[in-house]
Amino acid sequence: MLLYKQIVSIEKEDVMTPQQAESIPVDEIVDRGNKWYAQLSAALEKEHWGEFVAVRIDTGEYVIHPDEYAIGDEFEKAFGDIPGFVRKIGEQLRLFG
Amino acid sequence: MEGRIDEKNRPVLTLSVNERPVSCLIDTGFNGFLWIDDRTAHRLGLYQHGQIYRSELADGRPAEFKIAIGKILWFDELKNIPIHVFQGERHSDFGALLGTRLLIGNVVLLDYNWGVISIRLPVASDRPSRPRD
Repeated sequence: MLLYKQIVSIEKEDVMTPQQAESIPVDEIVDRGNKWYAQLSAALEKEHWGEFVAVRIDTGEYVIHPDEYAIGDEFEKAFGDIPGFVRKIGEQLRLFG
Repeated sequence: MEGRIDEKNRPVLTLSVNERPVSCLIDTGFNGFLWIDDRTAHRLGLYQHGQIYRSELADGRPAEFKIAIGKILWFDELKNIPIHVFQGERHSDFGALLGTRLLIGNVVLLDYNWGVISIRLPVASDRPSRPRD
């Protein structure tokens, strides 16, 4: 299952070039991603609890997929190889313990 | 496939990843395939996609990783598997953890008497007399 939505009006200057995107540090991707998720969480958690969301950090566009490994490919199909922020919807992804 | 128990009593298997040897700690608390640190990923020439995944460690600390596809030699067969590439400081002296997703369908024997570990395919006589709960 895949959902692709544009959730904000995008100003041209908000959209990153691949060169700009490449230089963004991990901390900033996480910070921006968390801010987008905070805006999206109420809507996402109602219908997609436990699935994965990958958010484009410059525009807030996102894809949803139930599989943690497939969502990266879906994100790249939609947006190309640019930084995105991935997390489990409604709960933390736990790989240990 | 055979590995060893190291001097700190940890089970270690040397795995071929992208045709290079990597010492992996067998971590039955990790439910993915392989978890490696960023430095090891670069050494192996793994291409990492741009997406940052947010997860939580067992002690509640946040951890970020990327997913890369790596080629491992597993029972004489080359397999492409997704690898979790940890973004940040290494937490142990191992650059790689081997998780339970890779072990599913196999029999793992930890022999703390002789200091060896073995991973093999199951045989009929392995079947337990009582099914697991």
